[in-house]
Amino acid sequence: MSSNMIMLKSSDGASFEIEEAAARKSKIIANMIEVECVDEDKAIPLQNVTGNILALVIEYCNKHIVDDDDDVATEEASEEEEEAKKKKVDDWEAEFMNSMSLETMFELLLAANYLNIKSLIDLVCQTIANNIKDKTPEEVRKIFSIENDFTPEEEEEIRKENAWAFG
Amino acid sequence: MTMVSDLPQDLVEEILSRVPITCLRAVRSTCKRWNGLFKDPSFRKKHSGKAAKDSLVVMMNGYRVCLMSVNLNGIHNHKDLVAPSIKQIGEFNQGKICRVFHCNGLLLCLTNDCITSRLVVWNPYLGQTRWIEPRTAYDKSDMFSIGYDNNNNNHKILRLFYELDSYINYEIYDFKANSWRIIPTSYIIVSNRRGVSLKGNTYFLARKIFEVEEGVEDYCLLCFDFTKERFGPPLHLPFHYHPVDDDTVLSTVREEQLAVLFESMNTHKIHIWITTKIDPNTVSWNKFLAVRTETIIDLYSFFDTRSFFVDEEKKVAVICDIQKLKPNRIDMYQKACIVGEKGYIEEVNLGELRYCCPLVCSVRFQLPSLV
Repeated sequence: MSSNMIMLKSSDGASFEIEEAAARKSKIIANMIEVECVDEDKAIPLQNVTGNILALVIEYCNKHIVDDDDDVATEEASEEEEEAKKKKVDDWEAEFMNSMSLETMFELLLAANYLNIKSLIDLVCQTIANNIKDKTPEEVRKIFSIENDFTPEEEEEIRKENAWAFG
Repeated sequence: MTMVSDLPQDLVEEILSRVPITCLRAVRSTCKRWNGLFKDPSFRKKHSGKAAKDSLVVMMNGYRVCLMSVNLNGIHNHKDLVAPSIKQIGEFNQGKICRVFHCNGLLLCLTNDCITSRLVVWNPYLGQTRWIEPRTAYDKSDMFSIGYDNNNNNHKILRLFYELDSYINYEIYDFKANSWRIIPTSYIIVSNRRGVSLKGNTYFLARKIFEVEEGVEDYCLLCFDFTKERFGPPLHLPFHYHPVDDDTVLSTVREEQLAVLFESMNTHKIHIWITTKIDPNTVSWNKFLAVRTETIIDLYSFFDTRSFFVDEEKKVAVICDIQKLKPNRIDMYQKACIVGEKGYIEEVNLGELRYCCPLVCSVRFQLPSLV
């Protein structure tokens, strides 16, 4: 399959070449392609995404476009193969997110949101949520740089409510 | 530097709605903004759609109610069996609780301290409790169920109790009005079998009072519609139930379908059916599992003690029961059996428990409105 390449340009002026099929992971870019406002010689400017974050987005899209192609080719794959493939993608995603700082995750999430890439939003949100699991409130505040804005009375009230709550 | 405070509200909600229900305490205690989120119905709805992955099981343990998170993901995984993980995630310890009923994530608990019985509704999600005062004194033999009135967006409690003349009475409690009132009905539900809550209504095993042949009692399913405040028509069960020889337990599947377990002493088999369609007026059943009981060792069914839940995807059922008396004849072992298509799979020891009360299993918590 010969694929069309398109150019994306980050807010800090870096240009990236990406397969059209991969770029279509972004609903916004897919939309631009549909309405033909993409000039083949010109890069699509993405004003809200910096180069280092766009590189991550493209890495994610490239990985997942390959997987989508696989899906078509092996439609009748056995359950075990399916499972193995899913595990491969899960492992890749875990590795991909593992190397990232929380700040990068937030930026990636904003970019995924801006570009409207649903599966990437899901992945980043889930990874951040996993960071909250099994933590104390103090730890959660520290991780997310959140200020404790409860008065001691309010804190006592919450503590009382939580005595009967999940967790 | 980009921080969580730079994210728009909907992305913050996307993240927090993925925190498991079992880890909410830390989130709520973090700051005012996050605590406030959990009181917002639209966020709760989002959360209930995303977070609940594990089965949550309500369990009685020595007069306390415990919420356990059960993960069956290991079952059937490749060829090697992995023990399911069970983790306690919450506990409610308000007096001696002898019975518990569930609807939409609200737990209705009946307490008894030998002299008086009291009724309390517990909302584990928001950590709230509300005591329900009686019109006439509660009794240990009362049967309750909790449901939801869709027209008035209001929870209600149905109480079934016996007057001195041993005539069954029904009364209903309205949370908004904060009062009980008698409702007239001639239906006879099997009062020692708990009903199960589905979509705000409760389904009971009941004696069919119409079309009864001479000398033959027939049983059916009855739905109490909390919106209309009345029972629906008799719904057929996929088997003939004989109260002396057989055991029947109801359960729900993903809060969408009903499951029924039927054990016949004559055939030595446990059958489980799941509905393909269920509402107060119609039912249709599909067979889910059949297991020979001799493959399940030492599982005795006592009076109203058995409960179960199914995992449709994994094609397994988890049956909880009291096993047998310990030598001191007071304490019992409580255990869960996991059964699948090929029969008995695995036993999960739930620990030694003082014989007091049944266990209840529930599968998924929808996040409830305020008590």
